[in-house]
Amino acid sequence: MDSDEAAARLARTDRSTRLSARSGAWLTAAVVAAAVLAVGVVVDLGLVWLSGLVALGVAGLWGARALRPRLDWSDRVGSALVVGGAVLAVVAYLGVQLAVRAAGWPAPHTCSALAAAVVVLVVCRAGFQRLASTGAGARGRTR
Amino acid sequence: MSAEADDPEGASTRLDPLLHEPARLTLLATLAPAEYVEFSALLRLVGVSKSALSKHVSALAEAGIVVVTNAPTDKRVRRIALSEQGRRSFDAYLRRLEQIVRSARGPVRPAAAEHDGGR
Repeated sequence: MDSDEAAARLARTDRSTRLSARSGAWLTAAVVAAAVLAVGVVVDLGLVWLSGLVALGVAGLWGARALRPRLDWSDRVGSALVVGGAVLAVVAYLGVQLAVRAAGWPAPHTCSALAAAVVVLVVCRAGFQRLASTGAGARGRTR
Repeated sequence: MSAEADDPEGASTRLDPLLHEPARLTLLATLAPAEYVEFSALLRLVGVSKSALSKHVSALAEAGIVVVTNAPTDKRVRRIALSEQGRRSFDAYLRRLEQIVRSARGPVRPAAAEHDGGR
C-alpha cells in the first residue's frame, strides 16, 4: 500500500468515526433534552403522578438508544463542555423563568425547560461528541 | 528498501488482512467511538446492503473483533460492539497506516532531532 492510499484510508476512517460520534452525541443529548422538557411540562401541569411515568419513559429511551457513545471523561475540554453545559442549562432555566414570570406568560416552567433543552442540545451535545471522539482513540478530533 | 524493512516494529504491525476491506474498516471506525451500535443504525452509518453488513459482522464476530448481543428490551434487535481485541487490532491497523504516511514524508533530519532533544 502506498502513502496516498494509506492517507485516504485514514481520512475515510476519521470521517466514519466523526459521523458515529456525532450521531451518538445527538441521540444522548436528545434524550437528556427530552427529559428536561418533560420535567418542565409536568411541573406546569401540576401532575406529580405523571413524573413517575416520565421517569420510566426517559429510562426506556436511555436504554433503547440505537447507538451508545463511549465517553472518555479524561478529555478536559469535553468534560468541561458537558459540566458547563449542565450548569448553563440550570442558569438558563432560572433566567428564562424569571423573564417569563415578569412578562406574565403562561407555562413558565415549560418555557424555561425549552431554553435549558436548547442549551443541552448545543453545549452538552458538543461535549458528548468530543468525549466520544476521544474514546475512539483521539483520532476523530485531531484531523 | 521498504518502510517495513526499515522499521523493526513493522513485522508486528503489518496490515491485518481481515480489517483491510474498506467496508470493514468503515464498520470498525463507526464502532470505535461507541459502546455499541444497533444493526439498523450501523446499516445507515456504514452505507452497505443488509446482507453485506451481515456477512462482515459475522466474519468479524468469528474472528473475535466484534461482539454481537441482543438488546435486553427487544431480543430481535442486534447490538454490535468492538471487543477489546478488536479495539487493539483496529488501533494497530491505524498506527500502521499512520506509519506508512509518515515514512513517505521522509525521516526526521538529525539537526532537527538534536534541536528537539535539547529542549
